[in-house]
Amino acid sequence: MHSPFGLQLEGIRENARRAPALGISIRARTMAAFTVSAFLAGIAGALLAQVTQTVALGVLSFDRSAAVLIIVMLGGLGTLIGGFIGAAVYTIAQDRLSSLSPVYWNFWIGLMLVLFVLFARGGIVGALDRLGAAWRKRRSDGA
Amino acid sequence: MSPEIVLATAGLCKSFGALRVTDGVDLELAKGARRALIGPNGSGKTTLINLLAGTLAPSSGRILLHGRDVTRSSAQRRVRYGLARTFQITTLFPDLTPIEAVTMAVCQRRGVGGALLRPLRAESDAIDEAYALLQDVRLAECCTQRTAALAYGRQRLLEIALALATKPSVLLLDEPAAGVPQSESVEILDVIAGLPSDTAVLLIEHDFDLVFRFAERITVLVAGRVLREGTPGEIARDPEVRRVYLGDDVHVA
Repeated sequence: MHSPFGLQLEGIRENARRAPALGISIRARTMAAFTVSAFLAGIAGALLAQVTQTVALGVLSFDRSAAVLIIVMLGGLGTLIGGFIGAAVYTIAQDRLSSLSPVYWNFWIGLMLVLFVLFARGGIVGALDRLGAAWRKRRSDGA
Repeated sequence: MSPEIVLATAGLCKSFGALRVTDGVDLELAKGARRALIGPNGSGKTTLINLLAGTLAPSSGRILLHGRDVTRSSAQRRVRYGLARTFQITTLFPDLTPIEAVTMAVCQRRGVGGALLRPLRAESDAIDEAYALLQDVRLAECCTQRTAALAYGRQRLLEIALALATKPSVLLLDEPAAGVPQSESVEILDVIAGLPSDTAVLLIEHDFDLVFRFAERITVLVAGRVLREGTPGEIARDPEVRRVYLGDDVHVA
């Protein structure tokens, strides 16, 4: 987020008590944020309907909402590329795990999520960021 | 001609259940006033600030800001009308840097706070203004550090900078130097002494040195009521004030 609006959203997340004391209306800003994300979700839904050619009740199920959350957390919260990486990793993992253990694949996905939450809060993108930073530091120290 | 009154309350009351914390407070602040609000612990000073700022709604009474009744207005609306506050317990944005936080407040005041498709870079005027503000409160050299990593005294200065970013005509300072070690409180004193002269300031403070040096007038609050109001000299001499609050052994130079 590199707009004044994005900065305010960060501010509201950081301290919802201070934001109104700076004249920021939390209701107006969060409303706008949800409107934008609902708009994007609407486009995604339309694309899904185009691709699958059917819209069953299953698209409203908890499984799909949970899957999206897991994808975002695996990839890395708050990054654009994280969503793509997370989606790829999730889909591949789901495919492999369900062929390995058709009954318990959910468990392995869950375990993966727990491990990420415990040890890699920023998801894959966050971990790569840290690795990259450590590598640059080592190089500059060595030079 | 009497000076313009920027903030006034009439019969302001606030009760929490049976407990009356603010009890019929009448207060008037003129443009550019330097007013201190003192009183023993639990006398309702912070509650009064919360009522003025819109964090709490009064049980009865009225609050006028520039002659406009704001008794029922939201906190953010009062900010737009020119009323800003700081918090006794530091209330900042831990993961933002000072320059980000102040720029956010400046953008809000300039009416571009909700701009979604405009890069922050395009608001270089706002960033410059935020930087100048941080220079005023002596935070320029640490303006790109995380707020959470700043020394406590610096966080107190950032409190003031954030309030100033809204360009207030009335500024409520809730114990700006509370908990700051002596070595760092000097800077806070300097900043408070250098506040814009056309801004009316209401200062809550326990440090008498600061109060008597800063204030042109002092209001003494006891059990939610205004006990006395007067110049620092009058307050220091007042026998009633000495009895309930200052203690008989306080001498004021």
